[in-house]
This record gives sequence, structure tokens and C-alpha cells, in this order.
Amino acid sequence: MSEVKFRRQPHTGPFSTGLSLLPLLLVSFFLFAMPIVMLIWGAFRNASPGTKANWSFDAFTRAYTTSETWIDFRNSIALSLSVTLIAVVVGVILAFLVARTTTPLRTIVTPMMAAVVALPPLFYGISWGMLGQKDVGLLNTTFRHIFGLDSFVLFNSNSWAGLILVSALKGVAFSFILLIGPFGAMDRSLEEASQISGANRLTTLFRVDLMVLSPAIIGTTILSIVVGFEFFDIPLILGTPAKIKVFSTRIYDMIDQQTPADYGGAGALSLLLVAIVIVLVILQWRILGKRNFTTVTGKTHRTDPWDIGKWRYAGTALIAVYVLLAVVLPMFQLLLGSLQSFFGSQGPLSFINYHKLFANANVLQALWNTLLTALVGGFLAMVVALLVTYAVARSQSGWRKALDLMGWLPFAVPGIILALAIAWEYVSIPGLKHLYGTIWIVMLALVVTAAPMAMRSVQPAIGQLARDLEESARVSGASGMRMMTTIVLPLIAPSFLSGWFLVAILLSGNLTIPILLSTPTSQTVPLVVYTLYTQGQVTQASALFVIELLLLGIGFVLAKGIAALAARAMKRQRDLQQAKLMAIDTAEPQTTEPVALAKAQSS
Amino acid sequence: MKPVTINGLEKRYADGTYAVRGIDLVIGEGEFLTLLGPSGCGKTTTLRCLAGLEAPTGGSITFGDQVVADPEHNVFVPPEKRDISMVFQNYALWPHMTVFANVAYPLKMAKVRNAEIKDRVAASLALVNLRERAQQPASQLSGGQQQRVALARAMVGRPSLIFFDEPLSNLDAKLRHTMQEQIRAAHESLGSTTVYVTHDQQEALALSDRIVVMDQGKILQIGTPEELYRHPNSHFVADFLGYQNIMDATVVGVDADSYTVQLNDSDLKIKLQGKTEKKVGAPVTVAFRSAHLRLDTMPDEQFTPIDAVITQATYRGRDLLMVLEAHGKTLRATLDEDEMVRVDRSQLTEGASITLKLLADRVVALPDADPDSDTAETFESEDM
Ligand SMILES: Nc1ncnc2c1ncn2[C@@H]1O[C@H](COP(=O)(O)OP(=O)(O)OP(=O)(O)O)[C@@H](O)[C@H]1O
Ligand SMILES: [Mg+2]
Repeated sequence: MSEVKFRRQPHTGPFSTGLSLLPLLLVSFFLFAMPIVMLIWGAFRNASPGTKANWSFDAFTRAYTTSETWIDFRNSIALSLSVTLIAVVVGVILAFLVARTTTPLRTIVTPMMAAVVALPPLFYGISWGMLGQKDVGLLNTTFRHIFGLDSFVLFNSNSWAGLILVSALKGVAFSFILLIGPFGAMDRSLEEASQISGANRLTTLFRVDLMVLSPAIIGTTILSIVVGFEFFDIPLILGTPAKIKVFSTRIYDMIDQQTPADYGGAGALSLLLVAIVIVLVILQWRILGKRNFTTVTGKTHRTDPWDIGKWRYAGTALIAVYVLLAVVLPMFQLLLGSLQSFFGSQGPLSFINYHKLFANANVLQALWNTLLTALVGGFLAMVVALLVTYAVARSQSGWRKALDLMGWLPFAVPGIILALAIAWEYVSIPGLKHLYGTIWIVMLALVVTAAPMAMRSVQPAIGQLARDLEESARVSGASGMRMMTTIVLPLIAPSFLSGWFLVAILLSGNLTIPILLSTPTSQTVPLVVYTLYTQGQVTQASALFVIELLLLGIGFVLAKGIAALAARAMKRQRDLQQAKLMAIDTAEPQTTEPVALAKAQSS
Repeated sequence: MKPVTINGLEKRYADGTYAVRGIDLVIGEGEFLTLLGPSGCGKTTTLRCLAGLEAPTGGSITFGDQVVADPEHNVFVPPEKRDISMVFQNYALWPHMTVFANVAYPLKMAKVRNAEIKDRVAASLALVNLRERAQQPASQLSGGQQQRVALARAMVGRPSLIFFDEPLSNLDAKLRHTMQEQIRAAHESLGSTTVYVTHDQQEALALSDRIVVMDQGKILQIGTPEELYRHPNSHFVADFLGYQNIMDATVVGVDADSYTVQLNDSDLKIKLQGKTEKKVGAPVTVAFRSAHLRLDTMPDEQFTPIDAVITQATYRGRDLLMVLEAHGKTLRATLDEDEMVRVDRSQLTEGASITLKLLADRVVALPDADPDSDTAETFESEDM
């Protein structure tokens, strides 16, 4: 055997050294950090991307001295805070009902919330835009019909109330999903101890439960505020007709609704939003630690539900109302709309919209584009997330911290800003320019958006992967690559697959990226839906969205199935590690004699 | 089947911890060598450097005539090229594979033909009594069965070097004993060189050809089990190998083939067998086991009588552990069952006086005196 040389440091695993991290670092920098760098760079130039320019503060002066900017900024704060208030209060109540009580209907809440989180915000924008349309929306017509009124408007979606309510429907689901874990892990004995000390239930609820869970609640609140600042689809659809603009829609307007587009100004505004979000995210990490903000304690406890008496029916009513508003009504309106010949038509229902859609080459192209970007983009996002997460977990190089940070960067950048930043990157860097306007740039941007979610989905699997499983492969003669393919990949495959489907679902409903980066040939379904809707082709928009939802539904079922498999596989791994000596083992005949051993070995 | 030469091995972790600080060791062909030491002394790190799972930061490791690690000359052979195998404390069976596939893995990596793989895996599993379980998922086995599969996997490739890192510490006492036999038998039948890590001195004594006692990343003593057991070379090793009585003394008389020492702060004198270089007045540390304080002795045995008061007596089943005050010193003695039946138990209660005989030829003088050691509290040994 010859001597194997190594440079400076040896290599006990893939990614263990700084050098082996280099390709991954470069890819991550290009994907995650470079757009932000370009965005900052662009904000300090006095011309559009791709043209010659000088350094200047023009963009900042222009953007920040307009009074509209500050009005929109206030609007963003108002929207974010009011939605957060509703979302956290309702989220806490629902999480409490589901985790700690015997309220009827509680079992449907968690799966439904997962569905609401997965449903694109565009869905809520459009379906509620229709439901609460002041003349022909289903809510208003039904109400008038029942009470024999003529022109009474019960609810107008294109208003502050509409904007807040509809955004809150999604916000509730988001905070519920973050809260249900800690609520479920809450130790019943803490409550009992309080009651034994003489506190009644309500006191216990406020002084014990809410206190113990306060880190989780605070963390959820902060994240909810972050998300509130990033809202784009719903304000765009419901706010624009009512002349309500928020920061994110304003940034969009400066590029899309203004000639010439003010890229520099949009960039300058973006930086403020990114700064706010980064501060909030850091605050949240500070309070709860970066990853396990849903963990109260690792131990298993008794978690028997609480009997809350008659209050359960109030709980059931709350659940029912939420289901009605968040799922039943919007779905029904969308389906109904898709079958009407024009929006609000009282005439016979038909499939005419679907026929028109399938006859439209643009739509077919968009369907194909969506499938492609969601599946391939989702896959790429998962691969990058897997490699980054694995490298961060296993590398011994100091560079892994940089990698970790870069991977989480997109988390702090609202989608519309990411799209803007990527536009800057691809237009400004020679050689990348020809990607601009193709479906590939849309896909790359989607990969970046999906990265934090993708990382979150592979992290538990990699965290559970015991290191000695890999090491025993190495000492058994497997090279680093071989070990990755025969041990690591099979073990995390279920989590990888389920993560892939979830990411694909999210991506296929994304409007913020294509709305800025698509050209007519590279449109995706959400963009076509949005365009149809704003052009007044509401029924066709509905029909197309129904098709999208069907596809999402299939993806969702697949993802859930695989997630169940993943959970089984992980449990298996845990069992294996925890397996201690059992009585059966000693009971088994131990007849192996050293002699027999020696004989068999020599044969 | 390969000698292993370790020269000045050093390992410093990225955070600055020195886990191993200069180890020199030659492991002979076919030898069963055990690294023994307290938690955190660097056993695992040494073993992992040998296996190539960790890169040393100094020194060199040579297998046969091949240098496998030498950071100064930028040599590092990755684990898969070292022709080794290893059994881990937590078994490290791959949960997505069957028992068969787990054991077959090293052979697959070595590109052995399928038919041969089948035979060799079956043979290997038969040795650990798990042949019928071949098609079960590895995750469905109990801890002891899993460790047997891990053993089968380590043997199947007939590597020239096998490493064990505390493989039995998760098993119960009875099973541990059986597994020890299997491991030793595997070592003999394969003829491989074995390096075994444990913090259990009993296990080390039972299994090894030679034992290396380590502390704080350094080697304190190397020797056969008997050498270590009978002639520990330092306070630490004596303590770790179950010498419950370790005391400072001063030489008070030297004869041709024996010499007498007096315990410090005590009038107790002990006559030691053997020659000494030491002169009268020189300090010396003496050590003896609790079991070498006896009620009775063989007719021809030399002993020193010791009058003591029992301050504590603990019945432990197979023996009785007593803490004694004698000649101004605190001593520990154990009476085995035979001795216990010869005295009235009421004489063995706290506060009672007793006269014991210290077997003179079992008392060892530790080479270098350690000024700040009088008692042996650090490692309470149960088994000696
Ligand atoms: N990856 C690491 N990074 C930093 N320090 C480490 C690392 N691994 C081990 N150490 C330190 O090196 C020292 C030796 O550790 P090692 O695992 O070799 O001990 P050990 O003798 O095997 O102990 P035990 O009997 O508890 O397994 C310890 O102080 C430990 O804290
Ligand atoms: Mg160890």
C-alpha cells in the first residue's frame, strides 16, 4: 500500500475540513448571500441594474423622503400587529383546546391547520376577494337574500377589515402549528401541583400554563410579526382595490407599476424591511434558541386532558367558525366561481371555464412550469439543505458557522425582496444575464425561498443520525462517498422525501417570485391565476386554482404518507439506540463455545 | 496480524483540549492489548486515532511497515484503507438493514463475491448464535443481541486489527461475562491484533495479554495483567487496580533480602520482602489490598500482626468490608466467607477489637513516593 497524502488536515468524513466545505460554501454564497450583497450594492447606485451608474444616495433620498413610504410603513406595522394579535390569541386558545381538553372536534384541528399553512396565501386572497365582494360576493348575497335586504353590505373584503381578517386566517394556522408542540409537551403535574396548592383552574391556567409556555408564545408572537411584515399576496389582492398599500406591495409597485421601474428605490426600501426582520429573528433566537423553539422539555410526561365542562362547547363553536371561514367557505366559493359563466352569475353552472383553460396554450405552459419548478426546485432545495445541514453537523472546520448562517439568511428576507435581489444578481453579473427571463431563474429563486423550510425538514433526521453509524461504515471499509450513499442517504430518505413534497407544495403556490421574475413564457400557475383575477376573469382564475388545489391535494397526501414513514423510520433508529439488554436475551441459550467459534472461523 | 507502532502520539482537539499527550507503544502481532483508565483519560481518542476516525495532531502511527498517520509528514490513511474493524459501545448497527446486511457490509466493501459473502456471514452469525435472526431488521434485537451482531460484523472481514471501545458497558453482568469469552475466542481464532478500551479493571484483567493504564492522556504503566495486579508502579495504578490501602512510610531497616518500613505518623512497622536500593530514612509508599489483611494465615506465610478497632463493617454477600482504626491509621480489610464463618459475627461489629495478619509478601512498595497521598478514596473498588 502506498502512503496517502493529505493537505494540512486529514479527512475523516466528507466536509470535515475547510477545503472540502469549499464547494458547498461557494454554492451557498451564490444562492443565499450574493443576492443580498447585490441588493445592497444596487441601492447605492443611481441607475437600473445592468446599466452604467455612479455611487449615490439618490435612491435612499428618493424612497425615504416620500410621505407615501411612511404611510405604507405604518400600514405594514398596523397589519402585522393586528394580525399577530388575533393569530396568537386564537392560536393559543385552539392549541390549548386541542392539547389539553376534551373539546369535541379537537382532533380535526391539527390536520386542518397543516392544510391551511400549506394552502397558498393567493388562495385566501382570491377566494375571500370573491366571498366578500360587495355586490356579488357569496357572503353578501346570501345575507341579503335571507333578510330580504336590497343593498346592504355585510362584509367587504377590499377593506382594512377584510385585509386583517383574511390574513389572520392564515396567521392563526401558523401560530397554532408553532404552539401545538409545546402545549402538547406541557407536564400535567405542574397543573396539579398548582391546584393542590389551592389555585383554581383559571388561576392555574394563567399563572402556570401560560407562564410555563410563555417562551413559546413570545417566540411565536415574534415570528408572527415577522411573517406579518412579509405578507404580500393578500395585501396585493385585497388591499390594492381599496387603495391600501403595505411596505411589500409598495416595493413591488416601484418596480412593476412605475415607468421607469425604480430598482434603486425599491432596494433602498427593502433594506429597512430586511433590517427589521433580522432584528426580530435575532430577538426570537435569543429568547428561544435557534432550532428547538417548540420544545418545552424532552421528557415524556403525563398529558391527560383537562375536563373544562361546558366551556368545551364554546371551544367547539370556535373551531367550527374557524373551519367555516378558513376552509369551507373559501373552498365552496372557489368551486362555485369556477363553475359560473361570469362571477356572480345566477345562470346554470358549467365546466366552460375548464374547457377554456385547457384550450389555452399559456395555461398549459404555466402548469408545466409550475410542476417543473416545484418538483425540480423543491428537490434542489432539499439537496442543498441536506448537504448544508449535514456539513454543519459534521464538519470540524470553523467555516461551518458561515455555512450555517448563510443557509438561514433567506429566512430573514421577505419573498418579494428576494425576488428583487435575485433580479439584481442575474442582471448585473455578466454571464448570468441570459438566464434572466427564463424559467430557470424563477426556479433558482424558488430554491432560495424554500431553503429554510427544507433545512428545517431534514434537521431532525440528521440530528438523530448517530455518528457511530457512519463511523462503523468507515471502519468497515466504506469511503466517505460510499458511506453517504449506503448509510446516510437511506436513513434520511423518508424525511428527505416528505420534506421534498412539502417544499414542492409551498413552491407551487408561490406568487411573489414569479410576479417579479417571470416573463410571458416563464409564468407559473399562481401568476396566471393572479393575472386572470385582476383582469376580471375571476371565474377562470377560480377554475385554474381548483386545478392547482387538486394537484396540491395529491402532493399533500403523498407528503403526509411519506412523513408517516419517516416518523416510523426515526422511531426505529431511536429504539435501536435505546435497546438495552432484555430478559429474553439472557434467557436465550448461550451455547457458543470458544472451540466452535475457532472451528467455524478457520473453515 | 500486524504489529502496531505508536510514536509520540498527540491529539489536541479544535477547542484546545489535549486528549492525548505523547503516547509511545508497540503492540505485537496477534496481541490483545487493553487501554485501561478512568473516564476522560484519552482511551477513546487514542483508539479513534488508531482507527483513523480522528486525526492525530502529533506523533505517528504505523501498521506493519505502513505509516497510517503522521501529521508532520502529511500522511493520513482514511479508516476504510486501514484494514480494520471496530465494535462500538452503542453497537452502531444500521437500522435500515437486516442483521444479514449489517454483517455483510464489510465484505461488500471489500468486493467479495456474493456466494462467499453468504457463507461467511452465515458462519459469522453462527458464532454469535444469531444465525436464525439473519433476516430480521437489526432494530428488532435486544441490546445483547445487537452487540453480538456488531461482533460478527467486526470479525467477518478477518481484519488484521480489531478495535473495541467499551463494547460491553451497556450489558448486564452475566451477559458481559459470556461476551468476554466470545471476544477473546474471536481474537484467538482470527489471530488478529486487538486493541480494547475499557474502564473496568476486571474486564481488562480477564481479557488482555497486556494492559496499558492511562491517565490524563499519558501512559502510566504497561504490563501483563499479573504484573499490573501484583506490581503497580504508582499510586494511581495501585489505586485503579484495587489497592485499597496506600500509605506513605519511611525505611527504618534494610537487610539482605528484606527491609522494614514504618508508616508515617504511626508506630506500625511492616517487613517487606526483596532487596531495596533505598537507605534508612528514605520515604516510600506502600500498598496492599484489603483481602491481604487476614484472620489466619498459612503456616509458612510471613505476616505482620495488626491490632485494630472496627469503625465500620459492611456485609456485601461474598465478603465483609471493614474500615479499621489501627496504629493511628485508617485501613480497609475484607473477610471472605471462609474467614467469616470462623469468627463469631458479634465480634465483627462496629467498635469491636480485632487482630489481623497482614501478608508481608503481598505488600508492594511503589517506586516513587507521592507526597500528598495517604488514603485511597478515589477509586473505590468492589471486586478485589
Ligand atoms: N471532539 C472533542 N472535542 C473536544 N474535546 C474532546 C472531544 N472528544 C473528547 N474530548 C476530550 O478529550 C478527553 C479524552 O476523551 P476520551 O473520549 O478519549 O476519553 P475516554 O478515556 O474514552 O473516556 P470515557 O471512559 O469516559 O469514554 C476528554 O477530556 C474529553 O472531554
Ligand atoms: Mg471513551
